[in-house]
Amino acid sequence: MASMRGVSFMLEVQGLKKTFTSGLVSKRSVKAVDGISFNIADGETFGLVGESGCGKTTVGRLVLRLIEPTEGKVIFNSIDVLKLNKKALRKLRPQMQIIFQDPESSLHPRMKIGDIIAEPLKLYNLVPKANREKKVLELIDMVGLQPEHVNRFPHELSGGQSQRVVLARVLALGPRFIVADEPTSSLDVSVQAQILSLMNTVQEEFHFSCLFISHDLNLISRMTSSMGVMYLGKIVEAGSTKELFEEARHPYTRALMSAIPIADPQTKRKKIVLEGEMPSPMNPPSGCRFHTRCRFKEKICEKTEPQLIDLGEGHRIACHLYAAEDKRLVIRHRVTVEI
Amino acid sequence: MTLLSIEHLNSHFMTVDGIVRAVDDVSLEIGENETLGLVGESGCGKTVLALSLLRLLSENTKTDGRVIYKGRDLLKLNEKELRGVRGKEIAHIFQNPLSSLNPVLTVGFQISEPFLRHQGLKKSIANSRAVQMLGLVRIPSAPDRAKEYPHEFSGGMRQRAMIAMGLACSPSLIIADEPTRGLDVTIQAQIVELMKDLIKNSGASMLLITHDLSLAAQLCDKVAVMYSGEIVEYADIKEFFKGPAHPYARSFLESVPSRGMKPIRGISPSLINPPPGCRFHPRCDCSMDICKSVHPPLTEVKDGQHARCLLYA
Repeated sequence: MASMRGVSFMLEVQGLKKTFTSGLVSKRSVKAVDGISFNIADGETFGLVGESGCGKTTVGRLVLRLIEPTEGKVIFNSIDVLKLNKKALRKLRPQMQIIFQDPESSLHPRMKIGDIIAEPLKLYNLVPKANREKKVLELIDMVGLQPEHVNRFPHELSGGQSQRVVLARVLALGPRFIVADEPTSSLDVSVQAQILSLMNTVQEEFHFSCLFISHDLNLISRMTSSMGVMYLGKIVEAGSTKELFEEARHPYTRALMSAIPIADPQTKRKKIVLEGEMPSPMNPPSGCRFHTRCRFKEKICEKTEPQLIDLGEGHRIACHLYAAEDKRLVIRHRVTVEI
Repeated sequence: MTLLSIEHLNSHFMTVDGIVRAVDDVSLEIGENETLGLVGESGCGKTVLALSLLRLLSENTKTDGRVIYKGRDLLKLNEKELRGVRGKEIAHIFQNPLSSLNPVLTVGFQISEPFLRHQGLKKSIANSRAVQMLGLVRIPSAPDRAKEYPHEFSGGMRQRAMIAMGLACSPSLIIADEPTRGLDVTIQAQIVELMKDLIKNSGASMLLITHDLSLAAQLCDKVAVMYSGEIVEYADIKEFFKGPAHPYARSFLESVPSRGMKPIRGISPSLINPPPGCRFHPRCDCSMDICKSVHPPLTEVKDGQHARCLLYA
């Protein structure tokens, strides 16, 4: 395991980029992910939050090499994932798994639940044939399903039950790292609570690290210990979840935080309603990508792209309102936002 | 003043597996200038209830009961009379704007249709009214946007277009089914602000259907919680959020991430074979022996707060 400043990381991502190109004659390209770095400690859950189209799902796929990155480095458990050949990557797969958004489409419609969960055990020959059935029943029990579910087909299950099956299949391999891409976005709120508390339980038991991707800050605050906020392919602010929720600095993070819906009509909060929508990543704004929607925009924001600077203790931010001079943080303007 | 009163409404689907009791003996009232939130989880029957009001359900549905709107029973109107109500008096904003908009007609034309149909306006005037409506829902450069097709709009803009279409003929009642589903939080916040303004300015009433309690908290005056085809709690929004009376409503609220994210055990019951007695009893922490056999009535717990639970009977 790699270590930096005494902290060991399960996953290190450095300068990750992905450019998608399309068109035969006139090539157009989209920088879906444009230079992203973050680390996930052993057993930790890192949250990636942003609006749809910001590139968060692409990041999840890149770190597992489900799609090939254009540039950058992904170090998993001291292994440089991007340098592996196909065979070596396949050998590593059991340790790095993913839970997709839509559980129903992640399950083969013609396979029985028992076979679906046994499939990875078979493929990687992790458990001898004689013990497979027992192992499947163990996993089924662990995710809160009944033994009779083994003989059912995916269409006979509810959304929440399907996601439990997906989780059982992932756990069958005993992974060290799991990407959870909006694992509950298609579920009801009471079922969402069931699945997420189940995820917390099994994470304690199996001790894996997790990249939790979501657009829902309420979930990020519950599930993660550190987080990054993405906007148009870049991380604009990152840090410990607690600190970001208490003291977000970037105007975009602040707007996102203030838009979190509160389930209480008595709580009145000044909302920062962002105007307009996220610009197209085909043609991102010059300078700071957020300047078209930012309330604190200055001349410099239109021209120069702000670099990520370290505010200490892992809190990083890319905004011209904050500038590092002589390694000392200078807040150029006092940002006062009425929340 | 009551604008719409729903009395003992049933909507049952006749299927090969049996009768699906999607809406079972529901009575509700919506006052003038009032926003009622109908909340519940998927499959509880809330969308079916909304579709029953304007009789938009398929042939195999058996609907009975009464839906009294301004002195007329909507369930007894003939097709022609009903067309005069749909879109003009009562507007329905459907879930999922992409599949509700016609992909081969311009957005502007689709918004101008109610003007042509209900108000008999000339095409050119209807057109300019449509552009006005798009401006009202804050779509930038509305005259150009009106000439575009739904696929050229973003999700948030399509939702705005749906709202514009719903509001076109200044209806007295708007039925909005999950108007913010699938939208980003920042866009959700925009839509909520917009709907608040529009409702306030137009004086219309609204039936808001949602699974999102925080959306109901922001928009509604009253709230009705639906479980397994029935209303299990009906209360003033503030009273409700202070403390729901029905155990299901309480658990539902506690399962919201910002309210503790406490899971409810078990799964929602089938609508074909709901549990006998109280339908929530297999999942309820307060269940008593009597709950297994006696079906509880909706009773008043305290001022204006009603619950369908034997704890209060």
